[in-house]
Amino acid sequence: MAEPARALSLARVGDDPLVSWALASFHTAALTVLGLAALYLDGAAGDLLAGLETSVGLGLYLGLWGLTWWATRNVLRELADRPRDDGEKTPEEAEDASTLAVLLVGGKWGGANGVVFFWILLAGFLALNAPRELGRALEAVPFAVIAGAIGSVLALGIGGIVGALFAALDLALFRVADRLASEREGGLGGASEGA
Amino acid sequence: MLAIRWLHVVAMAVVLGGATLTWWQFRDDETGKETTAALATAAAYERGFWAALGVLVMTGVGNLGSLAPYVPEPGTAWGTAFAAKLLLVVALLAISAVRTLHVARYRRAETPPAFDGQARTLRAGYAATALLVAVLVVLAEVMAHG
Repeated sequence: MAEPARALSLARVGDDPLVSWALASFHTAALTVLGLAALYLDGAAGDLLAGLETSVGLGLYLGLWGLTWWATRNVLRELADRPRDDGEKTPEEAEDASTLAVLLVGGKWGGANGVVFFWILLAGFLALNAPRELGRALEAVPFAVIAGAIGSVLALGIGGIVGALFAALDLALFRVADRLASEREGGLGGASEGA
Repeated sequence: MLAIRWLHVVAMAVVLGGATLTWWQFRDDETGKETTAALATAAAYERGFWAALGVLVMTGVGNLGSLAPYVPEPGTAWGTAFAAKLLLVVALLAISAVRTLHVARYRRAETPPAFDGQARTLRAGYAATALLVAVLVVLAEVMAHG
């Protein structure tokens, strides 16, 4: 009988590029599909897409994908590197991170993701719409600063909520995957519950 | 727009063809055989799957945009097929995330696993993936041609 694989947890995959790549791609695709579904059922998809250039849309998705990969990788690494009371144990040996820790770290990096994505959108908007004359461009600076500040706060909040929600979803997915494996292994190797 | 549709079809072929190939690699015609080769194929497929899926979603939105602003409403036959397609894509995403985590867990075992229940689980996962994608292709045909 082959040795059963150790249970996976969000705190033990900081070194696995496949997991960070898969989760990031999953988050980006799920967010886009669910957003599109909501817009379509609301009847707003046609008007929104009519005003969106294909190249801009592709660029936005690729940008969000890359940022989400960066944020997801940082979440997994932070959970793997978190301080532990047991000091000497490696991530493979240590207990799972608590659900609260996962949600907080996921929310933090989701907020960071949201803010950076907003700045990219703002920079693109300003680049395309900024006045060419220096005087008029300088007059637009206060507006850009105010819009940037308000938008950053909103992006931080929305990104934080989305990040925490996806962290909770990831926890559920890990548990489903582990339960499937445990059933096959006769109950060995289940993920432990954090404090 | 032709390039967007081409990318969409190529990405679909990667997802469907890769799932079918990986399912075939996990076939249990020899109980107890080493599944190291199958796991290597599975890991490679998982990396390619998520890349292709991102392309599918991106270009899917692009294809929808080609109909804008005259996108058929949700109450129509087209709209029903599209809503069903979106629902199945969400299901595919969830199943695939669990499948990838299963592959990642299986790869971390200290010794190469012989064919056992885990491999059967993965085989079922790849079969479900291929089946779901095939249904999505049928829905796409219905949307394109009625």
